[in-house]
Amino acid sequence: MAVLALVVSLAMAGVLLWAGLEKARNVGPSVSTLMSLGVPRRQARLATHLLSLIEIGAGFGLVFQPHLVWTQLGIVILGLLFALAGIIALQRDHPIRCNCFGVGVNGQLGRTQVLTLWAWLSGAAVFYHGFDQPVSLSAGAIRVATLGLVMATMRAVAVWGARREARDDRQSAMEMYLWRF
Amino acid sequence: MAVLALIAVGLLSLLVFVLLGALLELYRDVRQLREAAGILDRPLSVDIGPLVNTAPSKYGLPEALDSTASALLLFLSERCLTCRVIASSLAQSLPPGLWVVAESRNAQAAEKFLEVTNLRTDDRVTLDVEGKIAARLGINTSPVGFRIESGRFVSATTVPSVRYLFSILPAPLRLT
Repeated sequence: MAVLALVVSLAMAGVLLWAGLEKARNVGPSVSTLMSLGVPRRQARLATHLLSLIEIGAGFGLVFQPHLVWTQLGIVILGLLFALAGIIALQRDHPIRCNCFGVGVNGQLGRTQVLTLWAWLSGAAVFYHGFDQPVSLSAGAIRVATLGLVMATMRAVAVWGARREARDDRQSAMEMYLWRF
Repeated sequence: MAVLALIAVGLLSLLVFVLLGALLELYRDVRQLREAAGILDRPLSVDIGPLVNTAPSKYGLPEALDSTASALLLFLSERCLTCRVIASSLAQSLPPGLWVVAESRNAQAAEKFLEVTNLRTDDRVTLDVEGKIAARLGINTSPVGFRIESGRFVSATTVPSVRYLFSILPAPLRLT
């Protein structure tokens, strides 16, 4: 159970940190999503900032303090919020982009958020039963370093692919228009 | 000390993650602009349904293509800018496996096309004056690259750039 809790908490922390950091970096798409759900613009901006803070906070909480009830409660609340957003989106007559994980990763808001509620709730239950003692600071440090390096590496791979495509397009444009640099 | 170092590594990695996200978004924005301007290096498949498994000579193309193991037949038009750029890149000599058909409205236009691009005419370059071959093949876009294998048409794509052309040329056979 402890090993399962460790693995699940790391995975969930990665998901939350990715989503939270992307929202913090570029609030526009998430504001747009909330406005599509009926939230007024000003409140949508505030809600996006708040949501990104909660996601980042929950992510770091899962890395350093997964045994805390507050961390587990945060997971449950986030899961419920996502499911609520999914339910509202399903009742709209037009598809609403999720914009959950930032650039290049996109899907529709709706059924997925409702179905993954069980994953969030199960995760919180696993942490509640799996972490009977606090994670040490050194263990937390290893976890945050590992998570950070994995996320940065995944992003770097995506950037490398995009760079290659852009180079090919640029060479093609240079040929076409005889641009010289 | 080690703990602090690890935490610093983690936080710096997350910062790199955020910065790379901004870079990725920039690349995507540039691609959108290129797409809007029509200067993307993206080949499109060309539907050649009735031509598949037929012999090139049936449409007025050189008979030598019917017995070739693997070749790329490049269709260029004197009215297309990309075609002129590609033809100019072939001015020195045609790479092995590449055959060219240069379509033009009339003989003068064909001559002008050869003059402007310095494309040398040889047995692998065919001039399609008045577009008769193009009409038989049902081509209404250029440049188009037809893949020929065992003397039969297999598939075709648009050829958006010189870079793409050289990436799809058939590899020469090597005896080891």
